[in-house]
Amino acid sequence: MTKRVAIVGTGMTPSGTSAMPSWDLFATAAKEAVGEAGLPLSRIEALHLGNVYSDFTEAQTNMAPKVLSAMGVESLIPCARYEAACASGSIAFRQGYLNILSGVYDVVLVGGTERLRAVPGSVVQQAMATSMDLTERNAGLTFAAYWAYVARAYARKHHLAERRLQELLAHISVKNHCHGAVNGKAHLQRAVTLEDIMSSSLVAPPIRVMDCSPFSDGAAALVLASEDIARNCAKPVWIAGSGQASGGFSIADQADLSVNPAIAKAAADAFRQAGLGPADVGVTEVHDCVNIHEVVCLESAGFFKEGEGIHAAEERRTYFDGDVPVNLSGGLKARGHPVGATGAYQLCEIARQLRGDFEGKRARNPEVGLTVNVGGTGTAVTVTILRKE
Amino acid sequence: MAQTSEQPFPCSFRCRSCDYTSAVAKAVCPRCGSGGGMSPEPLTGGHVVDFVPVLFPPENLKGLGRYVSVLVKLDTGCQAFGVFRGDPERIQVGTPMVVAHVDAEQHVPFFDVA
Repeated sequence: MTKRVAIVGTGMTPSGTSAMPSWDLFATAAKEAVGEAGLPLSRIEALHLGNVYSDFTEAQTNMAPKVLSAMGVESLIPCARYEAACASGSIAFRQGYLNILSGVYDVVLVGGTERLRAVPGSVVQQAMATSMDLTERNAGLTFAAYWAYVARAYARKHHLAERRLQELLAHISVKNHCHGAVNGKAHLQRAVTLEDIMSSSLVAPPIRVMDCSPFSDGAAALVLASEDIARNCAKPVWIAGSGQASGGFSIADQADLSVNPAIAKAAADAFRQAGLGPADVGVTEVHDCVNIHEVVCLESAGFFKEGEGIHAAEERRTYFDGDVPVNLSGGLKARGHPVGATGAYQLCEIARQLRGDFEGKRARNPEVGLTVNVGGTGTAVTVTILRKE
Repeated sequence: MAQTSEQPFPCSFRCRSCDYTSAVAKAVCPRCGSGGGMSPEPLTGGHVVDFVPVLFPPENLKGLGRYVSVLVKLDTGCQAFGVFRGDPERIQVGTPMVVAHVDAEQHVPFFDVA
């Protein structure tokens, strides 16, 4: 068994609209990651792949071996696809990490891929809705309505009037667009104003169109290696903690939609493994599929007290130059949300922040980074802590 | 545990050992751990916990046009979602609601103000 595991290579395609199918997107990202690692492709011992919708959007299942074929890997290595809604990519990462930690393998390729924009948006929305409980969907619940319930629960608990809630949430979207505008791989590379957000159409009040992330195409890959091998690679980034938890599937059964106990548990586990706390983290990427969820992630993971996280963007604390830098990639809002790959993008971005070579807004010499990746309505959660040394 | 055609729809489920209720049937009661099963109980009504106007109906409910998603605390003790087709100005947190109609084909419970 190895004592430590490191990320030794990262690769990301631009997030946005792609003419390539998802398997070719991943092959592209994987080639970059393997190149960064300085290892031959033949050194990869297993593949763990996150992918959610290729059966809906590309008429392709059995994605893991499909991806190996696209990569040109014919070495009979084991592979598996993980589907945990939006947390698929980070869960694939975690399985690869555990493989190496347990001593079964020394070098593993992990990541995720998704292609959502080659089919009509209505098809993607139907597909995405399937990650919610069927009974509750039949009873009229939509994803937008779910986020509205979360926002309303938060506003009620913390005594925020609807207009003030919407303004505070809009500041989060403005921040993430500010960051994404200079990320060359982001889907939406443009700054927006508070007025742009506040004047966008309502989807399910109080949630507006510009509160929500886009659907994106994209792939991200990472090469993980055991300590002995990682020490001989150029810039290893160490995995210090990895937590995973499952949230309640029935939304009607949840006592308080403004917090997520699964995020709290995954974060606590990751921090305990790392021997660190939120104050030690210099940069984060969290799951802002809708801006209210950036607040839920940060508060549930312990970065802010309940009721305080929603003010952080307006107070500029979560900007790249603030004391709690969040979503310097642009987050899901601006970098984009290629669902099965999103968690892998977050991990690549944090790894590059720690290495000092992220091409975009950079945090000030972070030693420790953290990701929060959440699937569905908070039902699948990973929290991962990375460190430079 | 999926609903069967023998169970009244819509319904909630009550643990046969400890009175725990949920809108979703469980194989093992999450409160007492009993595997003795849950009894279905017909929904009658309750009061509004929260509600959200749905401005863009999903594909399966397109025929409704705009509607209001309601989260109701049922008289049976648990919470469940449903659809209200009236003016959202007519309801607020706490408004008493009854099951007015069920679309058995689509499995949609429609609530109305009591």
